[in-house]
Amino acid sequence: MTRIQKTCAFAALTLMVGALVALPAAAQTPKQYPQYGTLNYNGAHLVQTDFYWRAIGNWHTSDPALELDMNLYNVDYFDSCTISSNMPSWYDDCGFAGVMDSGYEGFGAGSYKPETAKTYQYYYADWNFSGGSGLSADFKLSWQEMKHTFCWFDATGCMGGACSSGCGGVLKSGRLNWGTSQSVTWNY
Amino acid sequence: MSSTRESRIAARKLGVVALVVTTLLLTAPIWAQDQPSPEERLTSWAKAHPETPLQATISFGKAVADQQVRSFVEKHDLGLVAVYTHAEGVHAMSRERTATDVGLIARARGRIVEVAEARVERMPVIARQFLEENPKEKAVSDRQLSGLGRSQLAILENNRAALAAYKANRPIVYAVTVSASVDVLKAAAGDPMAKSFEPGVEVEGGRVAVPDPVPPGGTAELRVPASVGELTPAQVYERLQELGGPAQGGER
Repeated sequence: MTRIQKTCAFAALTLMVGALVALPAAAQTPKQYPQYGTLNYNGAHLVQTDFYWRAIGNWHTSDPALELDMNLYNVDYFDSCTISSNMPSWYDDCGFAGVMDSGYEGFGAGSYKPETAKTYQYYYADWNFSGGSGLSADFKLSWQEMKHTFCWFDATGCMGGACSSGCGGVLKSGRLNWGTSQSVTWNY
Repeated sequence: MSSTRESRIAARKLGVVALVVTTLLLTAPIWAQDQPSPEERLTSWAKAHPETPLQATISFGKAVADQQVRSFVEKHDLGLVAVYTHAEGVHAMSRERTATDVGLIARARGRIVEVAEARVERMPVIARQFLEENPKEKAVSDRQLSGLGRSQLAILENNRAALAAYKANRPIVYAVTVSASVDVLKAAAGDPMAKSFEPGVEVEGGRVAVPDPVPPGGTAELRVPASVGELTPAQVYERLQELGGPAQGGER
């Protein structure tokens, strides 16, 4: 290899490495879950999440759904929920909180059309819980890709996990303490 | 002779068609095979659980006044399981685990007001984060970042408008999930207020899947008010500055 060839090869390598550093691979890889978001708790009954995708995709089915579950590991902490969201064709899974959950209660907010979500657009899912008791609860804000499993129409009772591997994970975990507000961010 | 032969050919063709249909049915997803009508769902439930109430979702086709919903629920003696609302592009749902009284309508409005108030209060914090992370030059020239900023303003405007609608007691309830006997549900389904009636169906594990209502206009897209949609990227950034305060280390 001549000196010129070596110089060109080195320059090309430098450019490639530079490009990789400038564009983090994780940020550019389509994911089912929103890569950036914040969970905000007001120390009482309100939990807010706001989030966005940098790249969306990697679905395991042709007709996916996505669920964000506020899993509380003190089943007495909250009882019921009111939800507001702007996710595409969103749904609540509060009616099934605790039904198939062992040792926790999952209050879900989902989307029947997550594949139509836009990148770089803020979405939110806000829970206003009611009832309950206790001073604290460990939580995991998790995501799960779902699909119509038990019936064909859009109902939470129809939905089941889309696969056993690569279809779910935890966005953020921690502890809710009554009377203490907190805000935590995830960035993947 | 000839007609007998034609009959045999026809019978063979019919057999092939039947085989194909059977094969398709057997290989189709289970949810595609089983699509009972609302009437069939009611009949099936009444047969399997004659003494147990069934849940159903009833949509009104548009947002109706709380008092109208209350009258509808009381008239048919329905248990109220969940209330679905929409106003100004903001959608919400409220349900309680055990209570099914008609008072849920008022409680739902109160809780939805709290959610929208908190969302309006939250947006300046998000705007501040955005300004801190994105200098003006970058946020204005980058189409994605500009879109991110615009969506914040749209969410804020939508929730402000919805909050005003909630507090003015404007009609917001477009559907309810109710619980009642099959006969009562049939009567409610025949009410002129009920524009759509979707009873639940028992699925694997004994769970009852109750169809979710579709809000008038759907929820597929974020509503962008004209006052936000017409802003230039620079104006979007300025509005975020007004909302979240000056950028910390953004512009030099």
